[in-house]
Amino acid sequence: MTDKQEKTILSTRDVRLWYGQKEALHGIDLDFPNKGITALIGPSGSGKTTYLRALNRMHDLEDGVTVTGSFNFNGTDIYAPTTDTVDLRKRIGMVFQQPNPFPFSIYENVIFGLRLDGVKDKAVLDEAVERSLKQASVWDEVKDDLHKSALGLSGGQQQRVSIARVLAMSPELLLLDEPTSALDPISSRNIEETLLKLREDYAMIIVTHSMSQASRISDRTAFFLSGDLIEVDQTKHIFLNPQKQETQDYVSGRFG
Amino acid sequence: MKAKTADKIATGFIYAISGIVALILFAMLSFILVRGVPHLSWHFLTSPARAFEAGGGVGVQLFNSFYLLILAMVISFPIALGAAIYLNEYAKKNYFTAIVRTAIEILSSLPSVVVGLFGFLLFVVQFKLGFSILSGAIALTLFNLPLLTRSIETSLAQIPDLQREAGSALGLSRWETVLHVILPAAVPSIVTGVVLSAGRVFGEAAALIYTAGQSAPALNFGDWNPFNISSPLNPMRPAETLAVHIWKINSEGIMPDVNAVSAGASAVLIIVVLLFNFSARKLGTKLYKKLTSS
Repeated sequence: MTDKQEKTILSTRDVRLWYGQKEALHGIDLDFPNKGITALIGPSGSGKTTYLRALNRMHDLEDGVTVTGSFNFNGTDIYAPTTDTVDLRKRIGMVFQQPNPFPFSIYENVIFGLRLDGVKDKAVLDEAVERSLKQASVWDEVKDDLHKSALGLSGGQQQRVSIARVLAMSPELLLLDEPTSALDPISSRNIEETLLKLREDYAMIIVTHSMSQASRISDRTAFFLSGDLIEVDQTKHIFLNPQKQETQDYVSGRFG
Repeated sequence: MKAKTADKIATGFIYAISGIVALILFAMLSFILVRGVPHLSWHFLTSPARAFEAGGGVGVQLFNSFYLLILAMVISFPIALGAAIYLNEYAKKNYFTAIVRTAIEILSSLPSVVVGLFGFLLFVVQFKLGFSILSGAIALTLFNLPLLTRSIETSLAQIPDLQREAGSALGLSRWETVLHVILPAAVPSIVTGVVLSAGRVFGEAAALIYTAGQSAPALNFGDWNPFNISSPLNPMRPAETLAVHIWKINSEGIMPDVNAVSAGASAVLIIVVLLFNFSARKLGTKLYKKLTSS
């Protein structure tokens, strides 16, 4: 029991979320280990992205959203009134569906957060840029163009720069909201390889529409349907030997 | 076949209408320029106006126009920027915001002569600022504020929400996101809007007739102490601008070369406004290139 708790980075209980009067999540219990990739799969509207965005309080930016339930992130209660969302989001990084680099140079993009935190030492910043871009497997492609605009990169490169920008903040947990769905197959494959390398060091939660992607890169898979968590297990169990009929139907492509 | 014919007719019609609009503009511009440009000379652009004899210029009026423009921009830009940031980044959809938006809309549709008369009663008479550059600059601010606020708000709204989400997800506060992500990204489009509105302000006459006044006392361009009455920088002196000058000499000018002066002054005004318009786009594109590949 003690052993298990040491390995859990995030534990959520009875997570409910309302858009106005409409309940979109009906009590989700999920735990995440501190290493490896957990994939959230399910058809459109199943609540997987909604759940993901609740984890770093992105719903705070929208009006009329209510969230209840308990969120224990390494001892921090995510929704406690005393929790600073700015600080929280530094610890829980997020990568979006659309690559969204800022309209600055690649270098400025990667160190953006550090600079705002007051880091001025050029050596530290240079080191962070190189380390983060290497971790995001994009260093070799951009190292000669660090001071050119990030908007000039291809979509896949932009997405990896966006990942590097998050990694530069040394987050404890990485949320990825369909990070490859706007990219071509080759760029998607590059991102997947990047994530596979990162999984040694980071805890990651990825929302994906692609079941093949979930089976290729994730250690654990959680299946969402209509705002409920149907099943969560080792990825191979979910795909080869699911316990629930709904999961069986979805992974075998009978709906969704 | 029938749909194709209808399509051809409609397309032709639309082309014709656009052509007419362009033609009207072209005809007006060439009329003013052809009449005015022959009268332009360095002497005309730099010497003061003469009320009774030929050979006067528009030097003082030209300087007044630019000085007023700069003052009006210095006052209105920070206010417009603040209002635009509030409306686009912070305002929730509630009663208060609706009132602010309606106020801006009404303010932007007020006839400029009304703004001028209001400025006359309040600043010139009530606050005893007299016919002065300061009164004129405040009246121009009232005239310019709603347009500028709108244009900056549009610039901010063009920045995709993805950038705001990216900022928040990186652990930026809302203000940090606005300051370090949204504003830098919007600068080129904001600058374009400011320069375009400068063109409008530069040509404004009605709001100034009763505020900045219709007289242009001789200036001593060697004296830059803003507290001296003959100094060009003195904000308390009356200052007829180029646009007001055109209006005035056309209604009551008695110099023998009044037609030449009027035509020349109109050409100068149009050329400056055109310069503002063309440079606005150039400047915006240039800034964008510079900022995005720093």
